[in-house]
Amino acid sequence: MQVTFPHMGYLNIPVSNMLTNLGVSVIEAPTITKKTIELGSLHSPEGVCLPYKINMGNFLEGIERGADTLVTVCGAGKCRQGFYNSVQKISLSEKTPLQFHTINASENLFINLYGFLRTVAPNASRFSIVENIAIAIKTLKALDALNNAKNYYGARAKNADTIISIYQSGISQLGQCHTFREINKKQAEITAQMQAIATGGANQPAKVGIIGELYLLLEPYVNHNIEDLLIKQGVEVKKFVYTGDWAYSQIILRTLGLYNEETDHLKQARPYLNYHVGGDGLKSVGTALWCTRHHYDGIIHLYPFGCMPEIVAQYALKNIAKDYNIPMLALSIDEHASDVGIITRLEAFIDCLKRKQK
Amino acid sequence: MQAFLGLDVGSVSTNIAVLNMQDQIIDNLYIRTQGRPIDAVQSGLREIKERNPELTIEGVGTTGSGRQLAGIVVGADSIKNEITAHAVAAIHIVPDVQTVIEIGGQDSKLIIIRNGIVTDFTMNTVCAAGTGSFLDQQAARLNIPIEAFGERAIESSASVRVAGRCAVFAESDMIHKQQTGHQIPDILNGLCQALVRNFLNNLGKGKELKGPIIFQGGVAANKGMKRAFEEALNCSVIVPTYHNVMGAIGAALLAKEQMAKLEQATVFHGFDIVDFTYTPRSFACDGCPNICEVIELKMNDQITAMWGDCCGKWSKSMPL
Repeated sequence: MQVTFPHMGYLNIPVSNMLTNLGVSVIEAPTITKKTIELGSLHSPEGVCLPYKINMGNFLEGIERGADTLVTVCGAGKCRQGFYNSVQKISLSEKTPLQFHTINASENLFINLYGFLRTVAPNASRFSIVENIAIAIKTLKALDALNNAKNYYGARAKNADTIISIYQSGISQLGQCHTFREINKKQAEITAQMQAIATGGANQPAKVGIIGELYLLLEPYVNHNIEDLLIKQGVEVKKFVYTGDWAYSQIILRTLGLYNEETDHLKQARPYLNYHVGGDGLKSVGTALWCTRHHYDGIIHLYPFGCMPEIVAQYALKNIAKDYNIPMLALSIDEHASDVGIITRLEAFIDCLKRKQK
Repeated sequence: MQAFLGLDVGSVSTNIAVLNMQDQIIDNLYIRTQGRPIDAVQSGLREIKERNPELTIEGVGTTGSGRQLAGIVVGADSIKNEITAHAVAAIHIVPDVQTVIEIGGQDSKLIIIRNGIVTDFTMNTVCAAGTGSFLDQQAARLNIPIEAFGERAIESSASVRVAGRCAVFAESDMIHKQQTGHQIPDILNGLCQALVRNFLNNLGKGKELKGPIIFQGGVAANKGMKRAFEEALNCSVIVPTYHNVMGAIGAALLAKEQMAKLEQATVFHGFDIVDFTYTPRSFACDGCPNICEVIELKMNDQITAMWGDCCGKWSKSMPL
């Protein structure tokens, strides 16, 4: 059994570690490139959204390398993506016999994840499964914190490139850590390195909130490295979707009954959107409102072309932008989106914020 | 005479503006790019030099889709996107402007300005139906010179409804209207109205379009489009004298701003560049499956710049 799974930002690091530690043999799909997207698009219906196509590309490239067991997370009912795994299963199994595991996030994620690990690692002890889940979540949270630190210090450093490369090497170093203590130590060490370089004055840089669809926010290749583009121009970036936070609240807090994502966002988005519109639509509106109330200078809305929940959210977002007079840039991305178009709009957006600040 | 130079290298036209130290426009030029941006820049600058032999250039700015290339070719102090450039120029010409409508060769923009600051903008994303090159095509198909398009459109008093959502459908709709016997001026007028509707639906949704409104870019020369905007917005629309070189004016103003900030001499290569030989070449990098199309520019047989790679393998190898 050779397991592979789709990429999403740095998610592959803890997932790979977790599976390998439990004795599962993992074949990681190559990082997303143009080839992944082309391959995925070729084997997908034209009208589906970009995340589906890229997941498909990851699976195909994983299979090319010898994988025969595919794992994906889905949440049926949240948006179309929730049903994509069933379609992918059918279309991929046509070619070669494959095992397809789906971890359902709309039910109890912990139980589902645990159950999945029991199946693929029958020899691992219960304790070591729970322990490895805990370490994976810890690693993800540390990676999130580093990403946050990069976006904070990068905007304040003379040379953001240095911060970005510290961050890049930090990601792989964290992948080598296997205990809570090691992770904490490494995280502190890398953050300190960034902090030492960010000597920018007391000036608060322009602050931008990035909102929108989860996958596009988390996968830098797909969002054209928007975070790095912004911090290189001296703009502080904050995003509100993190895999670690998500996994933590889904797996631990929700299991304990301490957290309910839906009611949380419903409260936040009021009065601009009072209904669940699927996917991350409600959350986009909620966080946009949070940003405006916390005096952000601008909001960037990222979503895959044709994403229904985000298109519904846009109606509310436009009203927020108008009422609060906050610049908002909407970027719809598909496999045809060119770098040039995005860079031009981003540049203009940053100019708009900076001139306003003056 | 000391001056700042602005170049706007667009998909359809290449424009140059020369501004004196008091920000007055002393010369401007509008030529077709014709798919050869470097040639267009060179011949444009040659003409500017011939008309103004006494110029000392204090700073150069480029903008437009060819800004990067043009910036390397001439040695630009500021390389800025066309949205900022158009906004800066509009504020310069009409200081209390609140809305800028810009329609160029391949894109259209709506810029919202309040108190002299850009507060919001949108740029067409999906389709080029409302832009200059589409109007060009339709004029050519009807055998009307593009310069006369607007004049013919305003002859009409009864418009014909044309589907303006998509360039292909608009064209077949127009052909259909011709076949059923509608007058050409009416069809042209209908097309203008359709494009304006399309512009306002696509870009103007949820935006407050307050006057004074400036209409600039190459398409602003079209009187039919101006009238259609005025009818749709129910207020008058200003088309500035230099409407077709506004991007270049903005680029020159941004260059001036940049020079004041940097306090160093311009990096302009001088008017000699009109006789340099530039040979761009592109190749596919095989370093990873991204297969980036890398562009290499040779100036007088020496590699001066490389770009287009997403990892920086080639572009970072250049001393900039």
